[in-house]
Parts: sequence; structure tokens; C-alpha cells
Amino acid sequence: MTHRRDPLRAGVALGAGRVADRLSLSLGLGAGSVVGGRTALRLDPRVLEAVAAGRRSVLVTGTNGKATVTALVTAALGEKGSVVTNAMGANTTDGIIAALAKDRTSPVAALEVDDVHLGAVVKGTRPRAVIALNSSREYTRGVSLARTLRHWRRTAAALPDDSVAIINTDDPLVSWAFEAAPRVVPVSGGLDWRDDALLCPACRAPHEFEGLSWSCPGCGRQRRAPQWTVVAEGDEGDEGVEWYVEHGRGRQRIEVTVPGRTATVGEAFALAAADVFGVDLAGAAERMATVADVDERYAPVQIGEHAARLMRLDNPAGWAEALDVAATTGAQLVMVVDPDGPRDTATMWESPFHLIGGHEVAVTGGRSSDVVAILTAAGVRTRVAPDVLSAIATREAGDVLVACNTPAFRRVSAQFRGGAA
Amino acid sequence: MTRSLTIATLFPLVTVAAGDEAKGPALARRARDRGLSAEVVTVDRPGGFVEADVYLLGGTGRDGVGQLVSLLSDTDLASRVSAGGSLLFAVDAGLDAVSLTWVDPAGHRHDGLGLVPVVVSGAAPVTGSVVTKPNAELGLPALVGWESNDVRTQRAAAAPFSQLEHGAGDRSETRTDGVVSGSVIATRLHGPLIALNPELADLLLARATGRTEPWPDLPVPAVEEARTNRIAEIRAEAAAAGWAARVRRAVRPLSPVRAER
Repeated sequence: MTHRRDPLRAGVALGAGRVADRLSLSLGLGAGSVVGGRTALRLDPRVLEAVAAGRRSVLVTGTNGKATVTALVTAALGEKGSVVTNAMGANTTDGIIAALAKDRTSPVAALEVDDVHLGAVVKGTRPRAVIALNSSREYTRGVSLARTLRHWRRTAAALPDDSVAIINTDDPLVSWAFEAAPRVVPVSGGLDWRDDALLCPACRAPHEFEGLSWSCPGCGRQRRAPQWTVVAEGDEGDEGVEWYVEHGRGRQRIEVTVPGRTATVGEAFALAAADVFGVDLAGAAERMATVADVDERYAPVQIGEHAARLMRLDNPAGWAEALDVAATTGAQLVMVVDPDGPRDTATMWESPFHLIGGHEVAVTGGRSSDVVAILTAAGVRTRVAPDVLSAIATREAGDVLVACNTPAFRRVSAQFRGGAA
Repeated sequence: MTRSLTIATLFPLVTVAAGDEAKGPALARRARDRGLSAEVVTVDRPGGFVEADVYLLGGTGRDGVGQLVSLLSDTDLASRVSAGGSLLFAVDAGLDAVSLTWVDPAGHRHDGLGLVPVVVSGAAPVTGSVVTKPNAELGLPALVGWESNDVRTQRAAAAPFSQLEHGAGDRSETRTDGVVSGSVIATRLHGPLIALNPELADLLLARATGRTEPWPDLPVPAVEEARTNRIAEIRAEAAAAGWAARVRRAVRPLSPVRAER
């Protein structure tokens, strides 16, 4: 069924997209959604406008953490069923069309958007808010960071007048890209990987950093004071840590249920979005507390005496955050890295494994020999295992972080979900 | 005798990252294993330029080459390298920057720094794995790396960096890659090239320190295994692709018949 409001051609396009969707499912091409969306887009570039029409949207983009923050925003903005989202990472223009075409009634959309698709998706959805989390190098796509930032900058300048850019003010690159947005809401989102933000994108002078603060001595740009900040109170002891998001009118208690720093600051981004949408913050925080997992990424899988948490890492910024967690918490680490083309382990040679120097890591996967070379060079001890279950079994009973590249993540999560434990 | 080496990575943020920032630390690691003390410096602006024994230039894409040339022109790189006082190892966009002329993405030709007798022009984009043939003259075994560029590299009166077993390299019929000229060694190969190929690190270290006698053996088993596995995999894939192409060619005349079924 196509929707009454659709312009005729867009309606036909959507129908054709659904046929392609079923075809791709029956051909075993996987969950079909992207294929369907791509067919629809080819038939009519205005299809996204048609399926987004009449909804209030918030877009989430950035190099890392998009899926996690989108899940939190989806929960923050409303009860289950009232917010349409594109779960499972279908975050290109076609994937978003597919998600919106499947649910034509939800009045609100919370959409994860691939960095380089932001312009097209902004044009098609005319969002109420855009959340920009961070920006750092990636090798997988061959799109340069500078080009992505210029794309964001043009997109931000073309945002509708009633649109708000909710940005990570701790990231100088994101701050520059969105400075021309009609309205900017600064959130303190942290910056784990500074190496790409050393120079001012406007004048090329080296930034000065002090804690989370940064400034450019060349052109005077500086970090805007955040309006939304996560703060922790108490110790790791008996009472435990209590988390709050501080904002202009007070502070909101939050429960951090998804592991990692991204998820913690993600709650601040999500509350800022809820505020733009006029949603009660206490209710939003309560709903976010029920988010225990994102695309089945985070829920620990009990394997014998071990609780294994999967992480997907594909760039130096992602590794930097995970290694920081491992180094500061002393978490036991298993690394699973599978072949993924000629550049697959290139990012890992640039990642700060020296942070866990002296630790022992259990290594498995089709690229084990690369990983052993990388870890050995960084002074990390390794123990190679034939498969992920035996790698986990070499760790002491308790929590284990299972850090994977993308193909390994897919393989291992399918194995865990299939009940291999 | 211990010598302290300075290794300077030049303007890495100007070009598109392609894993080349791993090269400085990898070279310094090998230097330390060879009993040399080494320091890695990253230069991000002309004012921060330092006197170094080895300069590293890298990155991919043609977007940043113009800026790279202009930044490098404001430094002493050209005079230091021409006088033989420093060694330059240039990769891809870095090779473009030190060429005689190169072509921007819009097709306009520009002067490079002219440190190597190379002319760069546009070509189809290629991304893939590369295996070189052993190079007895430079004392290098088969190296493994990867390439990602859209340019053709033409040399005049200079030796290539390597002959290729697998990969597109400079796109010439001689199946070569890069250039060795004076105090410059340049290639299209990115990523952990120095980390995965310690003999290349040894070559750079010998050149930088003026060492003429061969280094004693110093195997790194973990690295050797990683390289051996990757080369074996590339060879196996190439063989499989060769078979698939042969099968396709053999089957093509039959396909109209098959289509009728």
C-alpha cells in the first residue's frame, strides 16, 4: 500500500522498491532494506521527501557512535512505536528511504546518517535537529576527512531556519563544520582521538588544547561553552557512581545502561534533542534507561564463566576509545580480526596499542598474524587461539571485551546469536 | 657507536590519510632494534620544520598535493635533500608533490618540487594489494603493500623503486613502481609498508647513516609471519582470479545456448 500523500511518481517508485526488497530477500541477499531503497531512489530522487513528509526528524551523524546515539535518541523522543528509526546500520540515503517507507505513520523519525549522505538526507527530510558526534579519519570508504567536513559545512549552511545543530563542541572539526547552522546547541561529547584535529580547519594554525577546551591562536575560533554536559558523582565504591546531564535549567539524572563513553555522552546529545522536540526530560531519561542494547551489539553474552561484550572497531578513533577503556578498567581483551581487503589492518598500525603495553591479549580470526605483529610492535603480549570461544576460554572468569573489525563482528555476533555458547 | 636519528613526518594532515603515519614509528622501532636512538617528529606547519635525517611524506588523493607543494616550498626540504644531507621517503601524494609536474583533479598541470625526474598524469582509480619482486640492488626481498591512486607515474633517467609481481604501480608496461633518485626514494605503496617490511627500514637507516656494510640478520618473527601470510593470500587470490577469467573466456561462446534453457 502506498500512502495517499505521495506524489504519483514517488508512489510508483516505492511500489517498485518493495518488489526489489522481496526479490533481494528471496535471492538471499540479506535483509533487503538497502536494495529496496536504492531501486526507489533511482526511480525518483524525491522519494525521500515523500516518505519523510509530515514528520519531525532528527539526524545523527559522525564517524563513531552513530548507531548507539540514534538508539538513545529514538528512546528519548517517545514511546516505542511512535518513533521510526533505521536500526541495523542502514544509514545511507537508500537505507533511510527503506526504513521510512516501511513505517508511514510514526510522526517522529530518529535517523542514523552516514557522514557523506548528510546533505541528501537533510534535503529530503528537512530535519528539526542534526546531531554531529565527531569526525576522524577512516580508510574504508576512500572519502577524505577534509571533503566530508566541507560537505557538512555546506549542509549546515543550507539547514532550514527552524533547524538546530546539536554538536560536539569538544571536537574542533565538527565545530567548524557546523558553525554556519541557523542555531547551534553545544554538547560536551569529548575527543578521544586528537590526531586529526591538530590544525584549525579554517586557518591551518595548530590548535591549543587544554583538557576538553581548545582554541585557535590563528583565527581566534574556540570551543563554545557546552549547554549539555555529563557529570559523574560519587566513587566506584559501595554507593556507585551517579550520572547526571547538566543543562541550562538544571540537571537530569540518567542511568547509563549501554557500556562505553559514547553511550554516556550520547545521553546528553539525546536529551538535547528531546529538549528541541519539547519532550519532558525526566521521561526521556527514563526511557533511555531501558535501552540495554543497540543492534544486539552490547548485551553481554554469557559463555561458560565469561560475560563477553562485542565491540566493532574500524578506525583509530574507535580503537583509541576501546583501548582507553581496557587500559583504565583493566578489562580482559580478545581481538578478532578478519580479512577485509588490502587495507584491512592499516588503521590498526596507527592505533595507540601501547596504551595496553604489557597486557596479554587473546587473538583469533583470519588476520591473526597481522594483529600479533601489530601488538608485538606495541609491546603487548599475545596468545593466538583457533576460534573465538577458545580465545575467550583463555581469559580469567568474568568480563571479557571482544574487539572485532567489521567482518569479524558480523561473524561473531551471528555465532553468538545462533546460541553457539 | 650510537647515533641519534631524527625522523620527521611532514604535513600528514594535508593529504588524505592512508595509513602512512605508521611509517615514522615503524622506522624508529627498527632503528632502536639496530642500536640507534631515534626520535619521531611530526611537522604540521612550515614554522615547525626541523632538521632531520629522514623525512617522510605520504597520504593519498590529489586534493591536498597543491597545498603540500606550497607548504614544502616554504621549508628547507628541497635544499637539504638535494645536498644529500637528508633522506626523503615519499609515498603517493608525497611522490606527486616532489615530482617535476603533476595534474590536479580538474586536469590542470602544476609544477611539483622537482626532486625526482617524474611526471605524473591522471589515470583510472585503482585500489589493491601489491607484491614487489626482490630487488638485489637495494637489498630488498619481495615487499607487500597496497596502492590507492588515480595516477600514472612516468620516470625519466632514474631507476624504479621496484619491479612488481602483483599490482598496478606506475601503470607502465614495464610493471614497475616508484623511483629512486639521489636522496629520494618514492613509491605508491601505503600503509604499514615499513612496519611489514623491515628490510626497507634497514635500507632507509643505512642510507640515512651512511652505512655501506650489510646489517647483521635481525628477524622479527611476528612481522615475517604476517608478511608471508599476506603474500601467500594475494598470490592465491591472483591465481583464482586468473582461473576464473580463463573459465569465463572458455564459457562465453556457450552462454547463448545456456540462456535458452
